[in-house]
Amino acid sequence: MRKGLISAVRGQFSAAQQRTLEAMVKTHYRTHVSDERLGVFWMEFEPDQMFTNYAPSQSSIITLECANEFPQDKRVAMLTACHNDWCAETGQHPDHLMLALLEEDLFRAFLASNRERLSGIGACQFYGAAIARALGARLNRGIFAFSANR
Amino acid sequence: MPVYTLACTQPLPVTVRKAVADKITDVHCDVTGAPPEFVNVLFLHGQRTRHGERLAVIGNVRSGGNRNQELTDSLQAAIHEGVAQAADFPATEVSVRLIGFPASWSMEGGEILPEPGDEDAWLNRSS
Repeated sequence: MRKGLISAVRGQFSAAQQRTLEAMVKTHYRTHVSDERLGVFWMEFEPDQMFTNYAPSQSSIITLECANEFPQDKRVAMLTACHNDWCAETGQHPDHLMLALLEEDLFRAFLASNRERLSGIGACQFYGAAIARALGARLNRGIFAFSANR
Repeated sequence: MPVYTLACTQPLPVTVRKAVADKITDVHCDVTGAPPEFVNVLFLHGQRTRHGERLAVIGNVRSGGNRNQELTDSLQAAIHEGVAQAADFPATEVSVRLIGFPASWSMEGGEILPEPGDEDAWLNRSS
């Protein structure tokens, strides 16, 4: 399973919007990237914990994994399709959406960097809380979502 | 891009979070010449860090273009000093790690991000 992480401000989108956006990302992933299953996780920040350009942020950051040596033309097609449909669904300003399609070696390093800055107990607490909250959100909202705070 | 995430052991007051975010934006733009529109700073509260730091920073930054090792090292040192100063923590209680991302793997504003140093055309694309 490939993985994807969407970072956004909590409450910025309705649960229905989040389900629609996630389904859209997965559809474009199948079309442009791979038939492999894509697991999407939402990391939600409180409004005053996310800043862009010196101000509280309304940005969304989408980071997805793909195979190593992935063709750039397909990457551009995937990111463009997601960008267009995301902005159409949310009304978000295009400058407030960042997307990245990272090859698996870098994506692993990206995920590992967070784990490596935490202590053993800290990592267990972070991922334990994230999994519990993600499962709860899956039941209540139909998406895997967790708070950026422990 | 860049996206700086800060794992904090204790929640920082909002005024301190703003000061730290502003400092990171200032330093990143001063050292790299990148525009502030690119700079994202995210805080994760209540994290237990590996070496007991009060703030553990990870910066996901564009690599390539005009960014050589010397510039990357300067950026890491300046972010370290700036964050410690803005948070009023000893530098020993702050850690910073930078991870380089190819610009062409990311999109912002509907366009693939420019190589570091080539931002002018990207910024003027809609004017």
